[in-house]
Amino acid sequence: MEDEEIIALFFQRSEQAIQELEIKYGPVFRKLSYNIVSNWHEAEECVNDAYLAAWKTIPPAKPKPLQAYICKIVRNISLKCYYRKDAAKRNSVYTVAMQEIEAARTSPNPVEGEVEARELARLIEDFLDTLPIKDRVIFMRRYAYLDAYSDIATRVGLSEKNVSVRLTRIRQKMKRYVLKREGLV
Amino acid sequence: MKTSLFSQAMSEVRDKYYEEAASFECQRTTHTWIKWSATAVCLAVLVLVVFSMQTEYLHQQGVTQPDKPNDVIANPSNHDTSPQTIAIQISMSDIFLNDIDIKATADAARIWYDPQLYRDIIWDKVAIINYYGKDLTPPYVPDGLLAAPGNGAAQVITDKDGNIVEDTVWLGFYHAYDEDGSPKLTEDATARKGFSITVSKIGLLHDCIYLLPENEIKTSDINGVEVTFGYRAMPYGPYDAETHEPSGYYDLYVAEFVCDDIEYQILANQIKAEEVVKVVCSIIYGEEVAIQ
Repeated sequence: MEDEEIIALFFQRSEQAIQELEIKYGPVFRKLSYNIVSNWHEAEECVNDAYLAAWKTIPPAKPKPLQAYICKIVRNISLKCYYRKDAAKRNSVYTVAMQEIEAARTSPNPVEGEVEARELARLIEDFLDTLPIKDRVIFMRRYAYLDAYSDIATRVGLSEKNVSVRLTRIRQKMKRYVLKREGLV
Repeated sequence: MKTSLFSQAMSEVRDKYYEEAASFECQRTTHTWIKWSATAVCLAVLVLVVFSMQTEYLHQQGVTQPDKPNDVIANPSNHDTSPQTIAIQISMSDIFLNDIDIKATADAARIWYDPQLYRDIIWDKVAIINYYGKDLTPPYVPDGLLAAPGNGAAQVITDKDGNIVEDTVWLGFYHAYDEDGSPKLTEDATARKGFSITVSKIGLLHDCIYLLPENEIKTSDINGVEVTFGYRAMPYGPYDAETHEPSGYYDLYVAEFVCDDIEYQILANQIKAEEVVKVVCSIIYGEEVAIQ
């Protein structure tokens, strides 16, 4: 079923919308959630919560593309779930991915804590626009979808090692970009 | 930037970037044929080597080569008239272990059954035995592995007339389990340790993809049953920031075969090749088999 038809079902308040959403994108959402919470049972719950959130927000929202819209909801709910869990038990792709980014952090700028997420998102978008499409996809798959290197390698047709090298370069490039934008270099 | 802020910001990144990453499919380069040609040449050399080795083995039955620690003993052909069990030693790394494609771990598409037309049924252990004609628990399970809590039951699907349309039964044997029954990951390598058996009479949804084309995949003959073994060294992170090498690799084996009209697929993580073969042999022979 096309996304537009699914959204139409949401607007008609037909529960079939959730079923169609599950059929079309269920495995994608569960994989994304699992990459964060590292537990299939919790991932299932997060995805169900995301469906409920979608049900509450559509309408009035009329998301296009639909998959990205729900992916973000799944991501946010899964992150909340992740942070609720005991830190000692953290052992997911998300943890490792964020450790990578931590290493790419910029200087201890006292104002960085005040930077709003939305502002940073715009900065990241500007940075993404400077990248070739393949690097952009690799970055998004790793830090938005929290994919494992092996999954990214399959998707973009590179070896895992090549993905690792590219991600390192992208992080370094991002660090330079952020510093430049903040006027620190 | 703080990781939490970065993470939050990634959730705020516009949809078009998510969409682009979701819909991106790599274009195969025109040089793919070079890779396959090279593979074909290597295979041709392998076949020659294997053929000469097999001939030699047939003249040296029962002799173990000390320099091949990974070798597997498979049963000889049924034409063997010797009263003793004579083993042909075969190098798994050269012949029977087909390299598994990286896509083997990709998500398999799920078939969705319309609840208006189909219904789910839970089978208990007795129902499973009645359907398959035997207990599916392998006679041999490596030490330290425990049966999964869900092994005694299976969810199958029938149509409205009661005809079974989906009969897959899954059994797990892993070193430890979480509270919800899912296998625990090991601490050193972030992966499961143990194996699962998936069976079906109707037919499994094969999601194991080998590097070689289907007509070039090698099988192992175990008591007349053609078994396809697959292997992949699975890397696990975190990856080194300088060298980009993974923290290490663990062994992933797959075994696929049909025995007594039942289709089997065994997926093993972090256990030895010999143990995988012992599990397979025990299913085929119906009892534990010694592997030399």
